[in-house]
Amino acid sequence: MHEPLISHLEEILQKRLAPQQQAAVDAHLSGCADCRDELSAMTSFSQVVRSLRAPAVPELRAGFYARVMQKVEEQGRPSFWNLLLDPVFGRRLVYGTGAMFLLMASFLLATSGDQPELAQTPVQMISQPAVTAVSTQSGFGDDVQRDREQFLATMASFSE
Amino acid sequence: MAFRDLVERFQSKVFSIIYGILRNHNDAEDIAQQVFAKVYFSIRQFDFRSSLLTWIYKITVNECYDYLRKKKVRKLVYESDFSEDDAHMMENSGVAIDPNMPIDESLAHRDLAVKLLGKISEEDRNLLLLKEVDGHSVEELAGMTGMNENTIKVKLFRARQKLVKAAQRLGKVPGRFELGL
Ligand SMILES: [Zn+2]
Repeated sequence: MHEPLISHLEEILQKRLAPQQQAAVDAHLSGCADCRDELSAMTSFSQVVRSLRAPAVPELRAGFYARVMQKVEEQGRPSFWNLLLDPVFGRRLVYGTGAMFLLMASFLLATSGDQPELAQTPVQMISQPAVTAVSTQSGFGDDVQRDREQFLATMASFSE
Repeated sequence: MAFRDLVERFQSKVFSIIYGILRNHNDAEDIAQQVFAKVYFSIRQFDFRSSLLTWIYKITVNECYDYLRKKKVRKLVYESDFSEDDAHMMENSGVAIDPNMPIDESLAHRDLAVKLLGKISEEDRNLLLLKEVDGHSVEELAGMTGMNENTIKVKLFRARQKLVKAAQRLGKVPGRFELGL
């Protein structure tokens, strides 16, 4: 309903309205006090924001790039994320994770052979109570603390 | 683009944005260095949906506001609210805003601008700054942000409304701007 103001506000503020648009806007404004007030306030605050235009910006002192790099070095203390982004460490992490995956895969392959076929019928299920017994053997995922130690040991060997 | 090229390409732009807000050479340069250090460490987060300039602009304005927050600049309107004295001083210092007033760089105007822009969202603030301070057209803003021109117009309109409302919430807007929007 206040469409003329919404769609032409930027042109109005820049005083760049085409005569036809101007007529449409004027027609609306003459009958809409809300838009008149809003336009008046927006015009004023447009000027307020424009006061942040720097009049004459002084020159940057020579050697700006060197000072940026100095700041980068000061802030470049290795944090965990920086280490992840570091190409050398990142590569080690990828190798370490890959090795861990291979370790887990070979463990699963080695143990899956021992597992009996899954029961298909209730009768078979009752007659094969040993299925869950397999998982009581030591396996990756049973013991969080031991897994963590294994993982850290693997990681450490790739960081050396 | 090597990092050095990036710095050299945008350093004047970044510095002038900061200087426009702070008007202090040393602080502006210090913050400009910080902006590029941020760019250096977070360049991987740049997602190419907006232009590099828009992204650096956002970091720049955020750094300015971080600086103002940290420094807790107490003079005039940088603190969290106007005091009675501030309002009185502003009313008597020409900040009772006249739409026909030429672009004015008085401290009171700038302080009011910084203050009000601090009360609206980051997106609204950057859009208004790019439009009013950097003088980009709606068409340019559409190109820079990847949004269409109509969206930009509506966003600018809403941002301006929020700015006016922020001024009203402060309750220190001269009488003629106490509107029922
Ligand atoms: Zn209207």
